[in-house]
Amino acid sequence: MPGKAYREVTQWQEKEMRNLGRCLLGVLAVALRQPDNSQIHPFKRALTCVRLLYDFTMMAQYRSHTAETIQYMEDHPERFHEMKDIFLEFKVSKRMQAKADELRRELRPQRTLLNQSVAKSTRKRRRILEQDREEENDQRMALINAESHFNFVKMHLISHLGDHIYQFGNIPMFSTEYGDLAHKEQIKDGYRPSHTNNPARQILSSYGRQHAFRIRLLNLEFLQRSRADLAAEVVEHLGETLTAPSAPPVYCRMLKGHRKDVRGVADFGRALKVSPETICREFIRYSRLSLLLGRRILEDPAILRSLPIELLRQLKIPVLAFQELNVYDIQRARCIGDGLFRNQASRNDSV
Amino acid sequence: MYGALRGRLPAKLLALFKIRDYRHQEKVYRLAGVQMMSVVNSGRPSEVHGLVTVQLREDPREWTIVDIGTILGLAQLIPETTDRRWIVNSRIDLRTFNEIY
Repeated sequence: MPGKAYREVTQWQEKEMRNLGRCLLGVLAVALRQPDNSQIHPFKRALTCVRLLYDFTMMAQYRSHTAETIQYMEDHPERFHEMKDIFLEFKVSKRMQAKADELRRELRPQRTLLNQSVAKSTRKRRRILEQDREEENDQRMALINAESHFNFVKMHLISHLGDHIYQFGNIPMFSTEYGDLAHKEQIKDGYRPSHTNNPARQILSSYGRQHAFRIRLLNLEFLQRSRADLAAEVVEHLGETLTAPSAPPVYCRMLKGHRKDVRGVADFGRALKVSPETICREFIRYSRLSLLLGRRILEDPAILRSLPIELLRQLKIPVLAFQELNVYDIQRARCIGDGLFRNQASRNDSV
Repeated sequence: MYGALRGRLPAKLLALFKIRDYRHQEKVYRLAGVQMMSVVNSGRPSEVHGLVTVQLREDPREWTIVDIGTILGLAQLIPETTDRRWIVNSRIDLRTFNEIY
């Protein structure tokens, strides 16, 4: 979640913008939840517009597509283009703003003169002023509608992504992020050990040399694995540099952050501000609903109260990444109770 | 079940704990105390923004014990009006977006 208001940030980084996009629709849905009669239609259009555009960007991140998803990717921009004029008033260029200001400056003195001669009472003058303001706004909106547009390349480009997928494959393959990341390894890491005077040649040779070494080592590793006849010193060197292939990580749910102050049902109830009777009742209910007949916990409250309990703070949940078979994202659900989390408010996550 | 949520229901995590049953060869149960929510409008996504709304149950039972294996992952809930009603943000990641619609 961004820590600043949208207009306070002068320059958005790619990651920040992506994170903002994730919660934008939800936040907008809450902000525009109670429209009055005049706002119902524009709010609905604005929300639909944002939803269509964001759904499109989500689908553009898919690594594999079906005809249906591509059809969605073609329909969403079409519907978005039909509704995007709701945001036209926010697409005001500096030239347009200057034009609107000039128009206002021209009209204001004329109106003031006219109002002075017509309106005598304060109430009448106020009403006329309000009418003038409305008229001014209408004129400004007419000017914006006539001259503002979304006719620029990036806005048009999204209509072609469906065809692009049919021809060249998924969109993330062509992400420019990888090039950005390579800048560090290929340029910056080479620049640092150079003598910084005309460093291009040094950067190129340094990266080229390291790359060649890595390729050479990989080739030797492959040869060693396929039992090729290698010189003794090469085998010895490979033995020093290579590490044994580690076993694939096992992904399972893990509880962490043991609280030492809780040992039994009584401590547990005290920590959670729940009565021991409620805890025992819920244990029995869980046991009846979820455990096999022979494995059930005894329904005797005295035995239940004697069972040792460990209270923990964190649950690590491996979640299979989207469209991947063996890549897991680790999500950390935290449950702090009433205590502070990193000197901030307490944290009891939703799962 | 639960409309667009397809059998999943958000809950507020209240406690994570292990209980050791010494009568069953030291069997350890890894459990969580949660406060379950209920779906609004039968879990149908809103026609305008396409998101599902949930609220805290009026049920007098404050919390329920579940196995930690039944917890599928974190949910992002955006508070709507009071602290009893939330919008489920299904655009938080690609997996959630693909499963809740």
